[in-house]
Amino acid sequence: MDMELPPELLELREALIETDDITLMDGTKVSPEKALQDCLSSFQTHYTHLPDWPADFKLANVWKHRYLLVTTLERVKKLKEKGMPVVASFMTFPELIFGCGASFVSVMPCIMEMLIAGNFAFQQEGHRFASFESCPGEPMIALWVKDGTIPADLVLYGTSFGGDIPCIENLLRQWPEIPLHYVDVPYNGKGKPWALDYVAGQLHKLAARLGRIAGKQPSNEDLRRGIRMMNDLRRTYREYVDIVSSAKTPPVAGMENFLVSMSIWESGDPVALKCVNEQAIEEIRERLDKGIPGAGVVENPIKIYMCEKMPAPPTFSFVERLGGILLGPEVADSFYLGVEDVDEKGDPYEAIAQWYLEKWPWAPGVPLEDRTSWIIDSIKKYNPDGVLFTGVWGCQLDPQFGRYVADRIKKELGIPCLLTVMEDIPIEVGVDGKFGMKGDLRTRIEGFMEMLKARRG
Amino acid sequence: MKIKALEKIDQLVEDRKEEIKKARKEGTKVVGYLCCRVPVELIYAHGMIPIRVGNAAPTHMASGKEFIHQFTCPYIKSVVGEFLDETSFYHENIDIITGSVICLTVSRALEVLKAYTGKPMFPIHLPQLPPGNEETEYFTREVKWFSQELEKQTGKKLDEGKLFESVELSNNIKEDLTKLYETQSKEGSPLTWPQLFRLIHAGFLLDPQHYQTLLREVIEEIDTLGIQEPTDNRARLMLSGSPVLPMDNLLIDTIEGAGGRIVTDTLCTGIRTFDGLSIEEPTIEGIASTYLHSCPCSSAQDPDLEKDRRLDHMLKLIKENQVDGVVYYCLRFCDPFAFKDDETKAVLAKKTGTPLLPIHWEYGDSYGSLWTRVEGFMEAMETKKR
Ligand code: SF4
Ligand code: SF4
Repeated sequence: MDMELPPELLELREALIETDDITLMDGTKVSPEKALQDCLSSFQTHYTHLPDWPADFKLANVWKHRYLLVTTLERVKKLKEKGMPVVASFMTFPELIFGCGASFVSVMPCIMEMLIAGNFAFQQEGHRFASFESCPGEPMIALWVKDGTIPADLVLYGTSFGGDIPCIENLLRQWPEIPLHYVDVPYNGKGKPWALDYVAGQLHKLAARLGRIAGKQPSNEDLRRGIRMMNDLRRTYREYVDIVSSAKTPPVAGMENFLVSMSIWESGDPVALKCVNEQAIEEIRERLDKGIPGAGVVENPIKIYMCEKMPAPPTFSFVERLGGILLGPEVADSFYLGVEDVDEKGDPYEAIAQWYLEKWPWAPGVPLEDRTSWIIDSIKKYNPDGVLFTGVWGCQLDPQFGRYVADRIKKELGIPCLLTVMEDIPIEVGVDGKFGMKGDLRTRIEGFMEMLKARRG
Repeated sequence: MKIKALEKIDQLVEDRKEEIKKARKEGTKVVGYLCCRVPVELIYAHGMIPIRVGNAAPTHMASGKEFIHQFTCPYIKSVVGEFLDETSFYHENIDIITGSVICLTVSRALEVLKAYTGKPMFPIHLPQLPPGNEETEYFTREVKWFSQELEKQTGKKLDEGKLFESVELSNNIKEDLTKLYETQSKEGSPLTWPQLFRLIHAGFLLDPQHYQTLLREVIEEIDTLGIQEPTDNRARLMLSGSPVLPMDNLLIDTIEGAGGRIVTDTLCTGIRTFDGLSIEEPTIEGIASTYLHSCPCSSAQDPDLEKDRRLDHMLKLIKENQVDGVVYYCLRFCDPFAFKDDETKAVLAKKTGTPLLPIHWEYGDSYGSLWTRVEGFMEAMETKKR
């Protein structure tokens, strides 16, 4: 490596090169050295905001999560060159996509472009494309599909898999050369056999379409393989959450936890993610055994669970400086902790349909009461001092429920819940164009932390 | 022009509220519903009273924000606010909540209302894609389920005879409204679109028998008055976009005040409450098929722009009503409509050359800017007409 590294990174590099390779979905191996190098060079050429991030550099394997996050697009392009179709999608039916031999790319590269490359012009363009009232993420994926940055063979979107998605992705129909595929998942469909048949029927059509693109129709066994890939990944995430949530003093920093949960959410390669999760879990266990806390994390910190989404990145280290840590977020936990895995044995179409209709706590078919009960159970797992509920500007998905969720948390768990909003990005950005923390959020979090400390006595 | 029958509306609405209170005391259940795609015929056939909820009262909007996020459209904020206001008519008199869910926000509202009122709630999911066999099968079963849930509430089976009567009455109402709608669009008509719009809203609450009597009175009076010698040279406008709620008169008054004449709309609080909703077969299958095949709102998914059901409906109405321009209302955070303003404008420009004025609006926004934009649009249209 010819790059001059700061002392913390030199030390980390030593630890990192001792770790195992990353195995990607197509069997390619990536050495830890290469992962670090690719991360750093992309930070230098493009993701210039990253060195300013408060993320600590202590966990070696979490650099591999970073690697997966910043190279999603690149990897997907390589897979496409090898003949794998690319599906641009929000987190809709990855089991089926992978089972059909396709790869998928979601909103994450766009979020990275905005958060760590500081490309706010891109985000503003997204607003112009859809509306100033749209959420920051979704219009960007549409723009990248439109200009070919995401080499999508199919844009997949569906009812309720994101607040603005149906409205925004639908705008792509102005370019008929972009193939769109919509899956309608009924609200309140839980327990309705006709809703299940309806979704399963649509999944058959989707698989047939992907099969035509890939040049091979998937068998049931292919789909089960896709299901297993995602279930295996879910298991590693659960294991990770078990360790982090049960530790009195978490062995990870808030930002590291954010990277693990976010890369897990949308990095498009469940095999690679499973691999890096397993490696990170081993490292975290070791740290736990040795009593090493996450960088910047105080002994027995005030724990705050992030309900719904997460606040702007600087909030993580800000909370740590005040003696706390942010854990979660629910957006990732709900997808991976789930209530149960996707069934691996029965009819795979029905199994996937059922999971996205009624098992995933965020599924459109699941009533709010059930989902909130799930939130409460998963909060119990973390045993936090308080909950931070973050709605995203323009998101029509879940901020609507904030008050109800907060009321139930207070009633059933007796802990306070702070309702906040991740405003439109330019509002969150400081004058230097870098992510800052809005003054009012700062004040509210300070007040919240004071309250939580006082409650501990 | 003054139409005497229309002057009764306020009184009829007040009387109806008392009637509903009385009926409830006698055991009749009241179903509050959101969205124009709820099969009200079925609710009547079950011996229940449907009420379409929602109006633009500012107080409700403010209190709604306490329970549902401020990023929600004003329509839903207002519904939630009014429902959860313990002194409101809705809060006291609605026993069951329902809504046809095609816009995500409606489902959010229904969930919040259920959570805070504890009232039974039965949302009906309307398929988002253009209807094919799967959609028909799904939706028929969904409507059946809805009917069965209502049976559980009343403790009585659905009576086919009552369903027949209810569908027949409802079809007659829709026929009358269609007739009135055609009349108001004619040059020299004694009935205006704003008058008819208010009349449509009365139907959200009135007993259907009484409502039909009122419609017939209006038709008779208009027939007597007859079509006048056209003196009108105003631009003929369509009002489209987000719902314009009862009591939301500002935009309508501004358009008419600036010299425009609304002759048609695509609103779910206007023409879409009856257009294309005449039910041929008085069965659950017939009801489901009619609602499924009617023109959906902007939340529906038509991945092929060339076959967009909403745009096709809009284009058809533009042609039938010789529309000169479209005022496209986008309520704040009404994503389904607000996001599609440019697209709709481009399609109209390409297909009919009809200009479109988007109005992005939050209740309480500055009236001055609204006036300036509407007036400018009217001027441009007059220049074009000349
Ligand atoms: S913030 Fe909400 S609307 Fe935006 S991408 Fe996420 S879920 Fe979708
Ligand atoms: S269509 Fe618009 S106004 Fe209607 S519920 Fe949805 S967001 Fe609100």
